[in-house]
Amino acid sequence: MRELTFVDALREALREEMLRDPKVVLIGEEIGVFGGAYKVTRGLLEEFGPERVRDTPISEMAIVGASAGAALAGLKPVAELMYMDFVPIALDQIATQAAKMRFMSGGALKVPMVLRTQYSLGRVHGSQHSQFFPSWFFQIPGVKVVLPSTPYDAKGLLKSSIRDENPVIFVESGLLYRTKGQVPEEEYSIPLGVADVKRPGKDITVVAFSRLVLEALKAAEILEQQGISLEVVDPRTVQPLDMKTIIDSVKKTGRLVVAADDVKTGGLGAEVSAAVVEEAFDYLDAPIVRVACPPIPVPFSPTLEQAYMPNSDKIANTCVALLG
Amino acid sequence: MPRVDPVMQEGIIKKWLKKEGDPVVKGETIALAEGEKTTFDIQAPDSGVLLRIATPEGATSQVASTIAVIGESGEQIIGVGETPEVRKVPTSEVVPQITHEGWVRASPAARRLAEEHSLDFTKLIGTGPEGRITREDVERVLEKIPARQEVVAPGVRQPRIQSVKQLAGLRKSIAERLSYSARQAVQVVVSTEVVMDNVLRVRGATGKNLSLTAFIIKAVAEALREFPELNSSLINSEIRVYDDVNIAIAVHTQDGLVAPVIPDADKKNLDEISSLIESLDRLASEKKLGVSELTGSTFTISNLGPYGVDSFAPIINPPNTAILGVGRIVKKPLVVDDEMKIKSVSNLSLVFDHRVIDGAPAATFLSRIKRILEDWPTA
Repeated sequence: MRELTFVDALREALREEMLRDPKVVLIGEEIGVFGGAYKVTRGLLEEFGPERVRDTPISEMAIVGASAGAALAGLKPVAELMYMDFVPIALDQIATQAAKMRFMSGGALKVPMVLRTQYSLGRVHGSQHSQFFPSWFFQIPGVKVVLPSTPYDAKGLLKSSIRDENPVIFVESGLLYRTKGQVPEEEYSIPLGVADVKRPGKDITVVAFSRLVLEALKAAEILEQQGISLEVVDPRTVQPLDMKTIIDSVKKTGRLVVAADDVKTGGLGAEVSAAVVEEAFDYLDAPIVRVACPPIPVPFSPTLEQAYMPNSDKIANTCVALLG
Repeated sequence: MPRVDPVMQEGIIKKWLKKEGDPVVKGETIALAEGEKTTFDIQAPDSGVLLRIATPEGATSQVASTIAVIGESGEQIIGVGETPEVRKVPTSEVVPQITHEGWVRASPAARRLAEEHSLDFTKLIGTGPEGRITREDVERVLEKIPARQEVVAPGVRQPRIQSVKQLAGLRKSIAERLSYSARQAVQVVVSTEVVMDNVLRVRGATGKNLSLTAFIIKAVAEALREFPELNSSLINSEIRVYDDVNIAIAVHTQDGLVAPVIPDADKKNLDEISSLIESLDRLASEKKLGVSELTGSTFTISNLGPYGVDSFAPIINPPNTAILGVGRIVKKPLVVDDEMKIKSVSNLSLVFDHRVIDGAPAATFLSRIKRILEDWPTA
């Protein structure tokens, strides 16, 4: 099978959906002429024209507001926000407008939009350009949240997100853009809300999000040499969260480590842990442990940033400690 | 399933004396059952028809769970086993429940698995971090597979294991009661040597084979009337001094130690006490001691004299305040009035809970027992 980079896989998903459905339009800063800050939309302006690939001024509120309005009017916009750090600027449009319309109108209105964004943790972009807070959206029912970890998943999930009738926040990791993976040429999509067991194992379940799926897989390789078998579960979607797959895995292994690039307190790991304790308490053979960032702003110093971020070593060490 | 002794968790139905459809009368024995310590009768809590037997012969039932349903003829039974309506047999005295001191570190998975197999996980050795008992530790016991090979430093000698037995039933009950006692009570021992010549003379004169223990019981009961603070229990923050003098005697059986009770020992004469000891011994060896024989003690006597022991310090039988250990009677040269005399002597060791009483009154109590025995009227 051919290999694609994460960026190419995303671009292919956008292009295929634009070819499939003329209602799909792109909107964002520098996505047209410049081809996107990360080159995800490169060539699409040339192929689909300025009607469907819209460059905008620097106004996240306008980008998201216009997308929500366009979605209400029948288009299927895919907006791009350059950094997840800027999502809060448009939070009213997301949380109070887009997320609520369908519910408040009794289903008469739909907001089929995708908000693509990326987080740059690990790329030395400083405190204001490295934030990752997908768990905020746990408090905003009405939106879906997707965290792809491989080119294959990125393409399949983006296609499903575009076809979904609800607002979808699609968060990419900047560190994953250059990673490569197998992507079939034939048409496929991946349903939202279905986790993927990236590696089966028997001793510890590691639920990892986004970039950390790759780190967890590395940890699994390291620990395999020591006779420790990790099962790596990639939820792929945070909302809805496929707790069944996670619970089934925990019932099998009896131990859970949750790895996420967000701040530990109140983060993705907190939600997964609580749900597992509620549903599978009697299966736990060890405390649930979260591997995440400390509750301080992301440091700018590369050395400090590396110390701050989760990685395969931290996941592996946590797993070893769990087995005693 | 009634609870017939304080530590009973479950009982086995040995025999049903009634079958489904039989009429039963309140108080009538309808089944024979066996607990961890004793066999006992189960009486009908009410009159009616035995509609359904929920626990068949040979099956085990948790305390307070439904073993049968008594109702009116033709009555519909819904949800047998859901509503525990079996009465609890009241015991004559409040006895402290044996609970674990502190918290046992075990994972939820280990607890669940142990519970599913009625295994007491608190006795397992945890191999997880910080000694946590893990699912694997429970599985190992369930499958009787040996523990992960411990790393043994070269040169360290390890004894070979001949057999492994789970701590269960009476053995477990003894272990729990005695370790509870050892942890709770502040146990102090005082000893004295007692000349038993008068006792032996009286015993010989009766021509009856009176138990020597009976004399000790009689003497202790009399002394307890004078020192009621030793006839007591410390329960929570209360010292309960008892009016009844109920003396338990430690009896060895094939299965382990039991302590049947001589109730109102202070009001019984030697013959009565002696024959009661005999019948309790018999019941113990036949495993037929019931709840009324095994509860309500206020003081305990353990006589290891027949085993050739000179003296020993027993562990207090909770919730008693004290226990008396009795050694064998042996002839010894004693200096009496500056002359060497041969006397039959026995060692008495009183172990008491220093939380309840102090050394001086305990010693005075022991001297009183000695005096009663030595001055036993021979006429």
